[in-house]
Amino acid sequence: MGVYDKASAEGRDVLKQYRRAAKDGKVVERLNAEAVGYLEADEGEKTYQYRQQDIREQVDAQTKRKMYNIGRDFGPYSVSFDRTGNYMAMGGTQGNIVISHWKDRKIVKEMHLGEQIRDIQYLHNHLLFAVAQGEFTHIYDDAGLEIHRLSSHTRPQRLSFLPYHMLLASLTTSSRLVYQDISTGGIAGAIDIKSGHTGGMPLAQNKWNAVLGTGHQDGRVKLWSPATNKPLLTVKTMSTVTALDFDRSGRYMAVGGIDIKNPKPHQVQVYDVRRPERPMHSYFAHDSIADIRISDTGVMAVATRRRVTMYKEGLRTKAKSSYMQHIGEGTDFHDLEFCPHEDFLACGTAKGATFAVVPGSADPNFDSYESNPYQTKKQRQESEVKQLIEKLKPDQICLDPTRIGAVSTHGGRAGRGDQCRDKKTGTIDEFKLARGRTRAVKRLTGKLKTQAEEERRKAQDANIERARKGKTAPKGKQGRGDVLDRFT
Amino acid sequence: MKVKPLSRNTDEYVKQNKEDKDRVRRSINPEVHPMQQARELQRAVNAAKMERMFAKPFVAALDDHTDAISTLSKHPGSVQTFISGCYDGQVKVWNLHDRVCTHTIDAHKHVVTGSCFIPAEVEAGVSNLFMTCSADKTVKIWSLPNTGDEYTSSLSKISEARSIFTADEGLRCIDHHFSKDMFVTGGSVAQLWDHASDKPISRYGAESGIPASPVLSIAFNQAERDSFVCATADNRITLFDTRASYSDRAGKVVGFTQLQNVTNMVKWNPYQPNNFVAACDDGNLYTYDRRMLGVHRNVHKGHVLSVMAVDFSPTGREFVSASYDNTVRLWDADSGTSRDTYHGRRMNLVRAVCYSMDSKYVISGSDDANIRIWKANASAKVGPVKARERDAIKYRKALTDKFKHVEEVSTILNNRHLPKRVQAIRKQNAEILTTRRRKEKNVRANRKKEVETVPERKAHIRDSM
Repeated sequence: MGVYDKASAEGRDVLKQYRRAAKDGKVVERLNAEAVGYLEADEGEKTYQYRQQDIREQVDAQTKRKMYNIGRDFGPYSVSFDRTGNYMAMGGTQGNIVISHWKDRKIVKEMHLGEQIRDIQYLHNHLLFAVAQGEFTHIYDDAGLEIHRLSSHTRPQRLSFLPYHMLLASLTTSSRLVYQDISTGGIAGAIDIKSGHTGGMPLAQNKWNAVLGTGHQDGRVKLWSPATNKPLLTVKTMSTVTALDFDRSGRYMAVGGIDIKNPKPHQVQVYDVRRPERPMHSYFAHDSIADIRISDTGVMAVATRRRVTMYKEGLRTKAKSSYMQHIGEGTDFHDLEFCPHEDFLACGTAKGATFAVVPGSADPNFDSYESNPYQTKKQRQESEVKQLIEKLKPDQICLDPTRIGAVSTHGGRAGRGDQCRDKKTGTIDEFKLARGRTRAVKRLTGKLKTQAEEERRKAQDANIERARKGKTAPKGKQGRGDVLDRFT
Repeated sequence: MKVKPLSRNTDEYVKQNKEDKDRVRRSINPEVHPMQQARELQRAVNAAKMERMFAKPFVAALDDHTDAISTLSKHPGSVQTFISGCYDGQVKVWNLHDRVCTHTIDAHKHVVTGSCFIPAEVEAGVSNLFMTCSADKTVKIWSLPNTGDEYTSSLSKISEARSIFTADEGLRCIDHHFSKDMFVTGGSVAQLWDHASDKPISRYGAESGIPASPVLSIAFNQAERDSFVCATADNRITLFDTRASYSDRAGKVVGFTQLQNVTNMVKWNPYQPNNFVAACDDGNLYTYDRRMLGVHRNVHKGHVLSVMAVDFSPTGREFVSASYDNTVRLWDADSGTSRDTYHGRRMNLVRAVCYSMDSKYVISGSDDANIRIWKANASAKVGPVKARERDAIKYRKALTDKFKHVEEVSTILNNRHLPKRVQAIRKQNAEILTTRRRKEKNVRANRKKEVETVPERKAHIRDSM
């Protein structure tokens, strides 16, 4: 009786907790004073007609100050923001790196590496960034000092950083996806993604579950975790994939590529990751797609050669028309990145980087303990320590992150047993479970074999020995034999 | 065109004065906190590690006694005062806070076997009387010079017993009635005494209907004040009612239960007056409901050798037990497994144990003549805790509670280093148990008749009424 009472009492407690959490949540929401930015068209006009210079005349001075270019001639440039969105690093293919406190329009550091730069990526804070350059991935600090050369990342093409796992991932030319823990230096995984040459292949991160996606030249998108050598999911999309991104909720995936069967071959397909059999809808582009980025609020930016097209609320349902258009001024777009916590899109072009304002692209309410654009030095140091202490294990990366730490419905440990379970009755098929040629089974059978051989050999030796002495073999198995035989 | 991009006023986000705290914004949007469950689990693992890191339960050892400690009793009205009885007949009064002996009494000529404080109700609100019994056939009532916690002015010696009762045999245990001036002692039989007369007023031997046997432990009930429970050497635990004794001079047996081993101590739960716990020689503790003596409310398994003593925390939610396996274990009263295990390199057989009145400390007395003070919660911080730290501790506790069933957390939380001897016996016991289980399984599979399964809560009871 006691147990039952206690359980129901606990249940009530949980309900109470939920109710209280919901109530507290409303209070917190009220404290979130900032509202999402917006851009609304006048009558007879469309929002996509407005250019950046039109918007520039209407916005406040603070925003106006952030609408500028960083012009350099060593492009095309890759861009990367740090987690707070205060710093931006850009790396030009011809070896130029510019680190800027972009909101203050301050260049913090500029350097020339003399090697080809293919990608640049900030790590957990603005003090470290990784560069895919020449033969290896290198890590630099904010002063431009080379800290590490990651020699296991050979000829990297694309970089990605998983902040909660502290993993830096490089997609190498030899079609490997190398995960390295930047806190300990250990290699967390090196997966052969089996795609041939990886030049120009997109690498995107699903921030909701830290799964990495690669877009392949055969039109497949594969999702990866360092825990397994096989893709978690393979999605057949178009003829070739050139751009890829996931939204913040991890639910939608936008794939840009070429569908040669289609009269309008360049298109963006939007997938629901939970049902990836067919795209939910697609958008057509005029030119080959260089990059796709989805902002925190779900604004999707699609970069073609001369134009960046933005779609608002175009993931769950198809947007009737584009939200904004950003036309490059005589340069080709190469890389896009939405600035965290700001209504800005950084575009890496052949001639540097431009900052385009995209009203409504940023979540106005940030969480200071996740990433804080106003963090002090002390807060940054403390959060770094917290990040390291709460680092997740690489093998916890999976498609459904809510499974980690949850209760197994089957009971016991999840393993091969789950695969061999009858779905209706829930019993485990022992025969099925024992099948397969795992290394363990081989080792075991191998050992048994050698044991049997050893015994046979011993028996043969004994027979030979006996034959030499002129005695017959014991008749143990044929019959009882003579009573005295047992004393031989 | 209407346009308003997000533009924050920096002043609202950074602190204005140097003395201010850094401003913090929170977002409850789950998308802002990806992999929240996994991160919470990681935090829970860290919290579990921290808890074990901070687990330093040992506080102090009081080494004034010269022989093994036989009994410990706490003052019911004070968080500081407790008494200890020794094998050399000495009784010491202690101050828990200052860890000093305030009085030393050469109380008995033989081992002090039992002690208890006289409840305040009996002596009209004065709760500074305690009594001791001994193998030298005497019961003595002593008076503490000062009540409460001031001992500094009262370092005077207690030389004279307030009153002395002489029995015709050596006594093993004693307990006082909660409101009347009566007490019971246990020797070869249980006897009821009155403060006024120097002979026992009734005996609870063979006359009362059950076979007489030496009494090992005895305890009055706090709610049904005229009934008491006593554990005897014939493995029985018997419930008596004293009220019947006035008429027929023999105790009335309310009920009994017989175990397979001897019970060394019985203690009533102070907040659940129907329940008592029995510390048994087979290494288990059994919780009984006095209305259902044929079944255990709970079986508490953990000790590997005889459990010698048990004491409840004042709230009755927890109890502590002491055993001949040189360990002290702490239990949630509802739980079948112990919450924590304390042992020391030099701690010998533990005979007596006591939960402090503020339930923050546990006191153990062992054969190495030492009284040890332990924290009741091994990782608790002693001393003032600031608000933020308290919040952090609360949060960590909530995390470990949430994930206590996850293997990564539970292995850290539940793993305890045990003495080698205990480990060896545990291993042996586990083997015996698996063998027995296997055999039972085989018997059940192969016998034609259906084999009855005896639930664990009945398996240890041989007989009951």
